[in-house]
Amino acid sequence: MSEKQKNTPQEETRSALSRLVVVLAVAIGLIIYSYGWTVTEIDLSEPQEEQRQENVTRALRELLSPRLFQQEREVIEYDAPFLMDCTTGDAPQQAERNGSETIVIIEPACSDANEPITVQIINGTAGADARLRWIPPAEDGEDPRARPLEIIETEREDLVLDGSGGFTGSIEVPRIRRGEGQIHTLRVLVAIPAGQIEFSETALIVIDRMLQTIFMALVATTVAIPIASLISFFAAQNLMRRVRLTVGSMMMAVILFAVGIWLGSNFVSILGEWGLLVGQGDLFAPIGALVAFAIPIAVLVSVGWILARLQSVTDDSNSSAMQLLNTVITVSAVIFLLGAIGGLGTLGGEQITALGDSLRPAESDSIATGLQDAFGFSIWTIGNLLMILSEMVALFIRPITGVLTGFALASVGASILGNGLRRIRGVPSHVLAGIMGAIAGAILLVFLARIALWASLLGILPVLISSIIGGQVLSLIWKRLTRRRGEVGEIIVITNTQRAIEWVVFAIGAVGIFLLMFNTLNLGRTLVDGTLPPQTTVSLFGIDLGMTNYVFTAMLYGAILAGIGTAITGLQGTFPLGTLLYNTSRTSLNAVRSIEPLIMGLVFVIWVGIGPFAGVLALTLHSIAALGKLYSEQIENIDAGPIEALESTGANQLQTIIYAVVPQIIPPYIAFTMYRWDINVRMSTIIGFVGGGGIGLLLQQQINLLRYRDAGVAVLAIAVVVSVLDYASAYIRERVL
Amino acid sequence: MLIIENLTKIYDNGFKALDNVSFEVPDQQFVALIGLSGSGKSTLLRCINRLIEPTSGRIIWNGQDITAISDEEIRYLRRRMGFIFQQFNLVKRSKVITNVLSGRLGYVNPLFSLFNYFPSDDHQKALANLERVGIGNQAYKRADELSGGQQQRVAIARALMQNPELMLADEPVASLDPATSHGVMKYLEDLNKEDGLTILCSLHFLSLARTYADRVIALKDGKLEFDGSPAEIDNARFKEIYGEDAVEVGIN
Repeated sequence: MSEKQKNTPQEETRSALSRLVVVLAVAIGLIIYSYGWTVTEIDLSEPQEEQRQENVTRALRELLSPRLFQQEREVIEYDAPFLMDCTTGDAPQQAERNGSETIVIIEPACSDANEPITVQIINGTAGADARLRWIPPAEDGEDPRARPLEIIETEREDLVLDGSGGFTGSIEVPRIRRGEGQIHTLRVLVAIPAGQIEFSETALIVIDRMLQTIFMALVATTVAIPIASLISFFAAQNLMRRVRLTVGSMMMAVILFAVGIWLGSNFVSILGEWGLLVGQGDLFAPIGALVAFAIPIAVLVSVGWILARLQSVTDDSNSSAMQLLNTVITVSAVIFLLGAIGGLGTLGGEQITALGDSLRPAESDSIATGLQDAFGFSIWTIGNLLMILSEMVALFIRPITGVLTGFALASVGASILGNGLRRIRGVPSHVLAGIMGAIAGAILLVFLARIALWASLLGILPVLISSIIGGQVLSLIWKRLTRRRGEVGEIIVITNTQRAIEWVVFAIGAVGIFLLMFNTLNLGRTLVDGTLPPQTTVSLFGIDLGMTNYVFTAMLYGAILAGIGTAITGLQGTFPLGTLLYNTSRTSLNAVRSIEPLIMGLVFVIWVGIGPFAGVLALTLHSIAALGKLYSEQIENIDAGPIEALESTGANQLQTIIYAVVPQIIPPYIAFTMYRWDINVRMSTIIGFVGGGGIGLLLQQQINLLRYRDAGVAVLAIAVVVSVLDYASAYIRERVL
Repeated sequence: MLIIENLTKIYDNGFKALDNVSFEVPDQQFVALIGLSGSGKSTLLRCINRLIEPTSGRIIWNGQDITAISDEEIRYLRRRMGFIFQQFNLVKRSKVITNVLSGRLGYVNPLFSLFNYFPSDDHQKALANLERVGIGNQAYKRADELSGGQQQRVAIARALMQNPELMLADEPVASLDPATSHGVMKYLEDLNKEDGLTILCSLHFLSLARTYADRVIALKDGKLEFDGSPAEIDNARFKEIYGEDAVEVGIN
């Protein structure tokens, strides 16, 4: 200890140095922080200017005096005669004070322009508002133009009659080109409150728009829920980590998936379109529709029944032919059924909207007819919803069919051919894997390149994906060269150094391929010019390949890189499909989530026009990304025990998810959905600013028109609704969680 | 017949949980697996139904090499192996009957099961199994409303739905009090004696092993330390298995 108290010169230097570093760091931090205050243009002189203070006071006062209520006013006019230019005649006789009648007296009753005169109101209604109008004499039967006057000198600031209904003040006679020597009229308009106090027009519009806003949030949230739930499973690491395939099955699944998409969207979707026609009653109306509707259900049920019988008898997987047949029948039946449901929905929707319309009375003037009107409208709304949903089915039936057929083909192919592939070992395994990998890689890159052709920034996408594959390939080669192959029973432990080196090798491969491909595709020019990648088509040996140079090059890269990679691993290598899906879905969720709904709203307004629909689309897209992430985090938090238990019973992965995962995530899903709805209401209040409909649009219009009292109503409504929903969602979350 | 041959498991972080373990279990034997925490008992049990992939070695059950078959085939094999967990691993928010029926998932039509449809035979069987473990009247309660001992009995009923030939139990009574522990162990003994199930059960307490098991296998640091009848474990053996400082405590 005594030695330590005496510091050596080196130690002293070091401590002085570290002190210097701390001081420097603090100084640099201070400079950076101060720069923040400069950049944000914080300026205290501006808000102290009198004009600005006056403006802000007025704006705030108006915002805080929202035009919530209105009351009808009866306006009574009182006239007093006035002679312009006293030299042309006698001053007109003013009304006589005879006790109770309301009269207006001008004093003097004649003068020149710009002279002050005194206006006196006697026996008016106490506290009533009044306005003055100067009406020059009519010329050639023309309607005289009234001109509003300002009080220049009065006992009170605004023209309000006093407690006894009187008023006295001075005005300046206006300069009017005509009517010299003629009788002009000074008209006093006294507004007397009449009728009941009621909600103002602004308030009614605000309520209407607020409802629209709440429903925008509701629709966006509900549409986002199923999509986000589906994605959340792929974005949950604990579920995806276990999903692994052999390289052989994976490559075959990719190829079959692509084939399935092509078959599905071009051929199987015809079934769906028939279904649509049948459902709409265009083919065998109307009994045919019901029959056609029942057939696929019957087929589905019987396939399920046969499956159940087969399984309990053989206690093993079904024969290949049976599986294929089952898949074909099931997919066809499902697609036809989907089409039929869509068609039937359109038909039903039309009927229901018509019914709703017929129920609505021509005029609604009493409570009974009002209720009837509301009832008819409710029916109409339901029909309308049905029609929109059916229209969506009709719109998406081709892509849905494509994806469904792709999945079906990939899964049935994997289970039929998978056993065969598993038996291939040695050199044939590597050769076959290389060929399949090349095809799969080519398919993937062609798909990506097609997306990339869309905009110049997306042009990097195939390059990025290829460089990831390239990095993997190089690190695979490296592992082959450096890692010893274990004998049976031998244990190979991978050190952290080895891992780090492998990571560096991956990075080298990735960067190398990135640069190489970036140059080959001439992407630099594309990025600089902001134009799409060059669109020249490629022909090989005089045959036009029907694809552009860009797509072709990307395809070659994909085929070569993936081919090499899979040739190294062979058919029996492990393909971490789960990790791939996890990374892809997480990355896309984060990318979409980072774009503000306001910006999305801007784009959707261009697409679907100004109005709530654009806002709903923007909110939906953002909600999908946000909910997807929140949901997947909930899946990652669940108790893994039940999953283990269900896997132990021999349940398949889907069953495990349904029985072990879903019951655990329902409460947090409800809680986060409520939370999201709450956020969506808040966001939809401002999405109107970019034309997304809802109360934001109204608020923006009122602010632009400087109608702050009306804007105040909207602001008040937003505050009330948001805080009520905030409490409600907090309460529900507390109850559910 | 279950044959474990040179089984080794090394986790990704380099931890060697099992080191060249070999033994054979004839049908209808009640085997207790003992050892300190971290000695590899859980890993061994999970390697047998391949919840954990062994690093090397073979596991042969009824003549089939479990370590060599595909993921699809292991599903069919798992159906005949019940597994009981220390933490019961019930889905707490689901009903007891649903938890029990989920033991049937490997057998039923996958499509129908997604909509919570089970054949009525399976329902009868689930109720009968709940009756057998003495909680027939709790079938429609939520699983988390039951006590620990009752939950473990639900787990046994779930495993029974699989028509198992082999029952793997990982510390099935470690979270239960002594009286309840004996209750649960008696059900396992009953399955062994009456239904002829082979039972491989890891236990914390040697006294339980002495009471219920035909044979005791002890693991220490992933290695096989002892294999013999419970009576052979004297004080010296006990200290070899559990270390010098250990004192035998028991559940009576």
